[in-house]
Amino acid sequence: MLEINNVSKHYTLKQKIYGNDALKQIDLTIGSGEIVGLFGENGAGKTTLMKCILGFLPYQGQITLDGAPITHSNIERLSFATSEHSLFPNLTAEAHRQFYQEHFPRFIDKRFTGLMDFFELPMHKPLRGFSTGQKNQFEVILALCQGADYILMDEPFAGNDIFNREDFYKVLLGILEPNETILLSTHLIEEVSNFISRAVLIRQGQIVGDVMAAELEESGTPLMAYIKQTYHYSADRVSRALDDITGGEV
Amino acid sequence: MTRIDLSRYAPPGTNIRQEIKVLCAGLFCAACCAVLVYGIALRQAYADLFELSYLGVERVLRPDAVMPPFDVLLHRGLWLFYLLALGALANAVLFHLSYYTGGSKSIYLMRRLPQRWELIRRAITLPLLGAAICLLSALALRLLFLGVYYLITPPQCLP
Repeated sequence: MLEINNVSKHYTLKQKIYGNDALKQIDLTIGSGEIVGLFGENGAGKTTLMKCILGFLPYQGQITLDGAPITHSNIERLSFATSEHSLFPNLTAEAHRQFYQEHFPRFIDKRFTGLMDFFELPMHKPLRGFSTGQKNQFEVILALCQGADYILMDEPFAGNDIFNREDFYKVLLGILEPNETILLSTHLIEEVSNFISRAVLIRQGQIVGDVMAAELEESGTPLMAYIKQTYHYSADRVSRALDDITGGEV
Repeated sequence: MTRIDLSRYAPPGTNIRQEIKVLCAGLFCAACCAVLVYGIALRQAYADLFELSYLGVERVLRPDAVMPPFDVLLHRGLWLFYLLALGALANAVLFHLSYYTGGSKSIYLMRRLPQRWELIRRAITLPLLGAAICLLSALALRLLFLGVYYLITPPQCLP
């Protein structure tokens, strides 16, 4: 179980003084086997939260994995796929596989080969020659094959076409083991709503919504509607803005 | 003899051969400079030990001739080696660490590795080795120059 207790994060002193922390007293528990969608507007704190979990950023509060702080002794239980890509440009896919096999003993070689074949990615071409979409795919493949229990993905599909994304969702559901947990940050709400088990909404550094997919289904509320409701989204804001801009001429 | 895989001590994918070439070129230039600086100083100091004879035909050792101390002659001859060593260490910060953050953010992978010291090990090992080679080369050259100093200096002219 991944437990995030009272986690706060500020990047600048000004943020701290004026209370505009990037993360404000986040409390979140993610159980084993969940597929959690993390949603929020740009700058809400999704990436900051993931980086705090992985230990990339200092923070106040506590983050534990099955009761233990996340250190070098258990960090291999977490993997990370980021839209910024965490790849070595001059290495081939094969060389990346060898690197992962050397450093992550639980690396799943069979899954790696299968996903590489499925996405038709070249094994012996340096990563610098991959397209952005291919790099996204390879980034996700490595995260899924590391052998981690908790797979964090930060907007992994930016730049991939819809066919690619849909294929990937299907493959993802098919290959995940019951003990593998996904924390997926994405703006593609409607695409992922069909396969996530839980939706967590974050806004201005705070969790404003946390709902199980089953509850939404039971109540007949689509995920998008729940998000709009939680964000107090005003449906007429576009027309009001246009009126302001054009002076009501349109 | 077991070959050491240097790629295990550098950021994955860096061009180690290029770094070795740069180091060798630097060492060659530093050695040339040192030989030049010391050679000129030693030649001049040696020439100053002698004067023309009464008849002005041959050069004879001056009665009060004393060779300047070795360190005075060497002066700044080896400074380029020390600068090279410093440059190798600076390379660790400027190039090897920035390698992980330029373009693709492989720093996110390196900081997730269970092997705690892997990131630092790959960043500083080769530059430290380069710096050590520079300093050892400087020491070897210093010993060589010292040998030449004692070889050519008349015993009665030693300081």
